Amino acid sequence: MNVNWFYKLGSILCIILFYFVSLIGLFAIASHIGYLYFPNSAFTNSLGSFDPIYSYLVLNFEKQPELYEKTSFLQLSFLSELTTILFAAVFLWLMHKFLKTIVQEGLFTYKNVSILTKLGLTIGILGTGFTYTSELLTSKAVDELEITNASVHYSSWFFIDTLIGGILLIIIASALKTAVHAVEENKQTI
Amino acid sequence: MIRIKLDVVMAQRKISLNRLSELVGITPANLSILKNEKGKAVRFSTLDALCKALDCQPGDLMEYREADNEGGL
Repeated sequence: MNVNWFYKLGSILCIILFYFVSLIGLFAIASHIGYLYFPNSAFTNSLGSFDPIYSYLVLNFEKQPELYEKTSFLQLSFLSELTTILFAAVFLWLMHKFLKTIVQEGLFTYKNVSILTKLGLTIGILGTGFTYTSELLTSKAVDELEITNASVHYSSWFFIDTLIGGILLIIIASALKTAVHAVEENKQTI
Repeated sequence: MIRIKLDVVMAQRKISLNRLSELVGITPANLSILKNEKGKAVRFSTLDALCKALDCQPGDLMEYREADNEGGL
């Protein structure tokens, strides 16, 4: 079965999403800079009150908590969104390049080994950074909740998943390098 | 290093590269790579076909020489 069209479609989808994420990212970064350094500017006022985005839950306070006005929380939210956007953009760009190379040159190329290693590093470093800061942000917000007859604390280890995923991908890239070497050796055999 | 003597045997048998490529089922381009010692490795099946087509032994097609930093396998 020819699955080239599937890779081609994936590659196109990744590049479209890359530009989309980049645009959203620029807006998110601009808004955070506004909240942090120019809180009284017309641009910041037009955005309304600060409302951070949590990755793993939807949390809406009826009254804006004091936490949302703390600079440290704003900085953490900024860092979280920055790593999220960076992770998504780099991941999509590398996936686009990876799928494009498969369509044009095949899977067993040294180019793909390099891309896969970069993907592993992206997931391992930026992915872990994104999950860790996001969890920290969520944990701080959840601590603000006042619940009667119960106590709630958000703690999670999701960042371990991305860390392991990144390491695993680097190992796969290393295995692919050996396979590419064998394929190249075979190509040079008459 | 291993030196290829395919051109010598071809000259002795008075056979062209194109004709030999037809007989052994290898493209003239690949046969030329082998003849000019640009290849990295030779399959046993290729060696077998060459020996059959040229009626010779593998030793007639290649020989070992002390390395002199020039081409070869």
